[in-house]
Amino acid sequence: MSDPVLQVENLSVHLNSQQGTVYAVDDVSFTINPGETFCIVGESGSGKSVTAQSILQLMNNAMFSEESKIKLGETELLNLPEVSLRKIRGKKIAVIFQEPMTSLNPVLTVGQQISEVLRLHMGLNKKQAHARAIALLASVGIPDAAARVNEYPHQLSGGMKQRVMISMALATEPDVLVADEPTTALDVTIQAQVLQLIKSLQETQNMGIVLITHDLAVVSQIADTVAVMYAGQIVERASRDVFFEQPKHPYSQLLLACLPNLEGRNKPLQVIKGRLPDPRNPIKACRFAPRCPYAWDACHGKEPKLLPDAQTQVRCHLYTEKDHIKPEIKARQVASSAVKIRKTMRPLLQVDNLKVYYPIKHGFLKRTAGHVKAVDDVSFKLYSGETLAIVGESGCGKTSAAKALLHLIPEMQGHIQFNNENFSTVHGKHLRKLRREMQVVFQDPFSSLNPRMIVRDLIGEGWDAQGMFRDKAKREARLDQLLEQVGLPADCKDLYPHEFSGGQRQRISIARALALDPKLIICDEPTSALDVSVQAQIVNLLKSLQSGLDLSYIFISHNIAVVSYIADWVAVMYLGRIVEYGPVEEIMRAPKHPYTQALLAAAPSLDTIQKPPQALSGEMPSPVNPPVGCHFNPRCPHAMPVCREKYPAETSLEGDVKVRCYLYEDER
Amino acid sequence: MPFKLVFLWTDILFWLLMLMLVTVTVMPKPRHIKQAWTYVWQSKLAMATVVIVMFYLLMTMLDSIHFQRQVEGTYRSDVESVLDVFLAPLDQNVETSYSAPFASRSFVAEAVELPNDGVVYETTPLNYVQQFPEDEPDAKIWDILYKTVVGLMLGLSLSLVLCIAMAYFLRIPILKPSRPNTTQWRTMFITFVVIFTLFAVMYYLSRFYHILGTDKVGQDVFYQTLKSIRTGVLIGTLTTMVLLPFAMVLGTFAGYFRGWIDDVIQYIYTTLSSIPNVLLIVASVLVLEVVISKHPDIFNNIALRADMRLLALCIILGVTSWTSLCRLLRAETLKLREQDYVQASIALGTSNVKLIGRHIVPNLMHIVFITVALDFSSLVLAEAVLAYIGVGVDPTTFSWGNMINVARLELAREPVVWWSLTAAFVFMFTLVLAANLFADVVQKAFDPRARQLA
Amino acid sequence: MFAYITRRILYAIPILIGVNLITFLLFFVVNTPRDMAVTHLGDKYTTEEAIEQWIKSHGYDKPRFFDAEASGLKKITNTLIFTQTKNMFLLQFGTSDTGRDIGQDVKERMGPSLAVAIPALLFGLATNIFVALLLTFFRRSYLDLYGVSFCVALMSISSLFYIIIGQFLLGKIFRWVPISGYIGGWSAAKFVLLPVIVSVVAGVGSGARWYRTLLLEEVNKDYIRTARAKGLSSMQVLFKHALKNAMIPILTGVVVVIPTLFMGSLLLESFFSIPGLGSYTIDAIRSQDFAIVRSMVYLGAVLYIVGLILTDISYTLVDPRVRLQ
Repeated sequence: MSDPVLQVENLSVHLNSQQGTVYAVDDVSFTINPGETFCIVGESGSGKSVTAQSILQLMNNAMFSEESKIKLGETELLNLPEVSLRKIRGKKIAVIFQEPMTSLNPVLTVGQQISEVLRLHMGLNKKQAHARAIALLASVGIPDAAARVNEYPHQLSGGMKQRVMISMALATEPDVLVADEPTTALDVTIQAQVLQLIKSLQETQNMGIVLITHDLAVVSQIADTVAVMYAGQIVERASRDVFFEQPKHPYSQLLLACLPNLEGRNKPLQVIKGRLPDPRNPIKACRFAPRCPYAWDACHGKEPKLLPDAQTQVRCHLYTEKDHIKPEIKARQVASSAVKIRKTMRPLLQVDNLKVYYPIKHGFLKRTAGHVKAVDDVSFKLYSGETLAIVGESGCGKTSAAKALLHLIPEMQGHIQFNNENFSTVHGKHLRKLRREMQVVFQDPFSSLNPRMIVRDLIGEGWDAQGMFRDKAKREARLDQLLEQVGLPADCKDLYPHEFSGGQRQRISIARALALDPKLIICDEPTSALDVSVQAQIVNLLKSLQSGLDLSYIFISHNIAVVSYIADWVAVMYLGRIVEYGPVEEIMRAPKHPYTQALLAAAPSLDTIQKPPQALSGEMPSPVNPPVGCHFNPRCPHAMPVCREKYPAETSLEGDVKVRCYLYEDER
Repeated sequence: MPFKLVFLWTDILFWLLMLMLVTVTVMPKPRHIKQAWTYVWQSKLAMATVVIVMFYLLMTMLDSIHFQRQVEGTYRSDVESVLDVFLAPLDQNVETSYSAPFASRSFVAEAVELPNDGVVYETTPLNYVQQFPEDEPDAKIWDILYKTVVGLMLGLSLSLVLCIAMAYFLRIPILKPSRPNTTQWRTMFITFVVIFTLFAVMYYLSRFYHILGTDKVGQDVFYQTLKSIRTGVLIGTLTTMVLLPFAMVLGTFAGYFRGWIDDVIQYIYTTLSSIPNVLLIVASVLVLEVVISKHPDIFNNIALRADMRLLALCIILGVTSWTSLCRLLRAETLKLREQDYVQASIALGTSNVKLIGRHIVPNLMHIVFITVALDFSSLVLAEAVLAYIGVGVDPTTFSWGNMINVARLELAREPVVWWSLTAAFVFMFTLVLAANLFADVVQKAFDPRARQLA
Repeated sequence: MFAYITRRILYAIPILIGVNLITFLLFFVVNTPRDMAVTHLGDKYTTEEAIEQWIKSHGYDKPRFFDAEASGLKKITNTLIFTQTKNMFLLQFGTSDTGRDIGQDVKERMGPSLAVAIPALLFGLATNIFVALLLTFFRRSYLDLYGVSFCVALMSISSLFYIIIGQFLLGKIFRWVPISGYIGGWSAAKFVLLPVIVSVVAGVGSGARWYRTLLLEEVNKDYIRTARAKGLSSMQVLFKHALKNAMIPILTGVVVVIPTLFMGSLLLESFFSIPGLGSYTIDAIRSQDFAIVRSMVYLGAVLYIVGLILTDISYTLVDPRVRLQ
């Protein structure tokens, strides 16, 4: 085995901020060999990003402890002067950041930004650098690189920008690549492409990769070695196969058990109680102990060391105190939510030909020259007590569809029959009255609650609007009941949103929606901004509320795993249209439409360890100019001539599945 | 009664504003506002500057209680304020012309007829200043020093007593230095003592000398500068009072309702702001002058006329400068409207009025606070420029602008008459600087983004 | 692009009509032509005929809004508001209240105004950017702290003082430059020098502070981190990346005032006796010559709108993200 290319030893980092000193990273050590992919996985606040950025010392407010060492080959980086460090940055160690949208300079062309590295580190002149930049862009799979090199970042899609970032990082053939959540901001099909690209470039350049991610599924596909971080420390480190086969640390075990899937849909998800400890006053004990189901006295008393245990290094007293007998955790309760039976044959919600066309104004008189068909001819039914998931990548129109249902978009057309009323034509006072029945929970737990209002007013807002619960005592009683239902303490009524964690805020949002006793709640990606352990809590909450209150959900999501766990029906959207619709089991087990197949294949999942993610070529076209014929035809592996002519009609297949694809034309 | 109170329009509005200020201070506030103010009070700079601003406000208050004295059964026509009484007899001690600070003789040589019919030009002794024998050149310096010390002692002891009393009743520890991240009382008390003592010395000396000299018509410059405070402060505060309702209502409506309402409001403010601001003010003031001169019967009293002119100037300044705040508020409302919590509130069935009041306006208040604080100083500065152009406050009203305008011509004199200008400069600069620095802290407190950039 | 500019120009028409309406209301309704005549002829010794004569000679004798006696379209066109608006749109300013040709005056006085305003703008811009870069480069140091405080102090000084002190120090004490006055051609330089210095110093406080905020906003963005990760020095990061982005708001902010430079500066010109449009306006204000003030208001509005259109165009030139729609 060759010498390690990067060695991190006893790295401890403090960040000085206005709120005090944050002990972000504590005693982290690892080594990376050439050609190795080292994944650091953890939830937000675990210190994984700080670790990554420490390698190049890009933070202004970071203080390193005396013992900290970061060695690149033989060079110690931490006491290098800035001038020498600059010769390493971008040359020996390159970085890719999470947000391709903001990480590129908006006023410089892509070529200028790549050339900058080449001229700085490779000594190329302007002309050579430009030629090399084109070659590099081509090598990361950007079509028509010679033209693209003169474009500005905003002219490229998110996936393209991340490819540019990669080509920029790898231009100097660095020894180490630090990738900080490189695919988090991307859609699944694009994520698969980018991961494949990184993997193949690694093989040709034989570099070591430090990949930071929160997504265990991504880890399972790309990592050689896995390190799990919790509260600034590495709690477990192992090779990938060993880790996924037998995770040792209780935190790792719980993290894996939190992930939803189709098989477990009748059982509640495993959750991790509590929240991260305050990084400003680190505890001198096992940091996970307060949340650990196995914790006993020793865990609260002294801090465990990272000990090698055969193939795994683990920081847990369970493996050092041999005589301690591990208590059995109670088996997961099996929920009583057996097969749902439809009570009525009349649907709660029937949507016919829903359209959202945003006009494109053009020319001198601002005439409408065309439309962005964000939602185009969408129809579906929803029965009470059931969940319909709308799945698709960003830009497919799923959020527009949800907002159109809620009468939040004036451009909405089509017919909505809701709760025996024609919901599409109501307006004014009557609409305001009807809104009671249909509520919404948004994605971002930060922007969905007014920061200037306390919980009491936030949840009671709907009552003020509808003139309900004028009596103070009754209102208070109902408030207590709601807080209990969503699992919030009763004494939080006078707190402001910023005093809660992301998951708790999402509970407040749910309570606000529930306050009006709605029949339908539209959940627009309610868990995608949350960590997996919190996601599990919210998903469990939504499920238990549904069975208790006979609620219906429309669940908008891009996360296949969550959808397969929570939904009864699935509608897959692509470029404004539903391409496939059916019961969740059917769609997940035997997807019909080529897009659904590609989407499921691209979504990383723990069941497919080793198998490289299946990448779908190309990107979703702009809804301004959708391809003629079937919108999916340019990317479809089965495209036929007829696909390029006319949009396919709906075909009903066995098992209540409806699909819009010429492949199934005959089975009509 | 030996006097009757006179209520000038600007007095009423100013006191109303003070009343609002007190109500807002006393009223229970939401926590985020409280936190922002806590941040302000934890800054030493803010504590020091707020004392200075308070001093100016106090002068304005004293100068905003007006009355007419009764003399032999009839009320005198000239209107006095409490500040005049406090400063008396400075307003009556009018020399013949210029005199330098602390001078005992006039600055300009005047023709003095000699007994033998000849005329010599020489400086004359001032009427209201003590004269010292010519053979004791040091006597005057000793006298000034002595009086300075007396003033110092008086001011120091009085201010310390006030401080200790206040600290005792409010239970504020002032002996220990304030720790960081607590209210900086100590800084406030120290600034208070310094300002109070400084003023006491000046006040005591002004009983015996023209400490800042006299101007062309022989009026005491110290008196003029203090009287000018009211004009500056009123223009800075009343104008904002005029422009706020315009900007807030129109800005939120345009941003919230969009569509044709937005078009109309945008049209109005684009039109108004496309006229150069100064010219719009000039045009309005010129027209106003004509109106006033056409109706001499309404504006018969000099004080009343000057006051109407001041008020009109505030209104004109307010009407011409609401556009920029309105534009800001509209842009912010457009952003807020797309926030998820506003969308969620619409989905709950909340009516538009309730929604604006609950979600939009409270989230705009930080912009309003910051603008009010920043506008104050620029308005005080604008007064001087307008006075120069000739469309400022009434020439009979004391104002820094008028002082500068008269004094700038005297710089050409040899030797230079510098004191009027310097006095106006120092008093104006102190107020504007204090307000600017305070506004800076307020901005950091209410706009977390600004805090990051500091 | 072409369609966009045409639409913007068309949109300017209602705004200019609005401007005219406001000035008309101020000058002809609140303040009637008769008042103007009285102001100019003096109160006491005028006869009714003299007033009539004055009004007639200035063309103010038409009905203001509506001519009931005329027929057809003339009902509207034969009115004061219509002719005034029409004249303004054709940039025919007519004669001043004292009988001078305003259009001619404007043409003559633009030159001296620009001679002061253009160098003042350019030097001011350069100084502000330089100081802002300095403060940004040394951010979080004492230089930055004291520099910003000094900027606030400079901002708190009335512009009148800058002029008075400038005149007094440079012109009177040191006698480097003439205190005031103006002659055309290249010898204007020595008369222009002082006003330019004064205007640069007066503007540097607020200008540099504002540009520093813009620069700092850029410095905190993600792409700066990328640039540093590439191995660029702080200097290169600041100049090549941050400044380039900060120049977008700086330049477009400058473009909007460029057309209004023609109007000159009221204060500078009048203090330094420079025969530009600024001092022209001040003189008109002081002599209550409403015809000139009205023309200047209109001219200012036109130039401001031109500035707005230029700003939009300049955005497309300096910011690759902006396309005119």
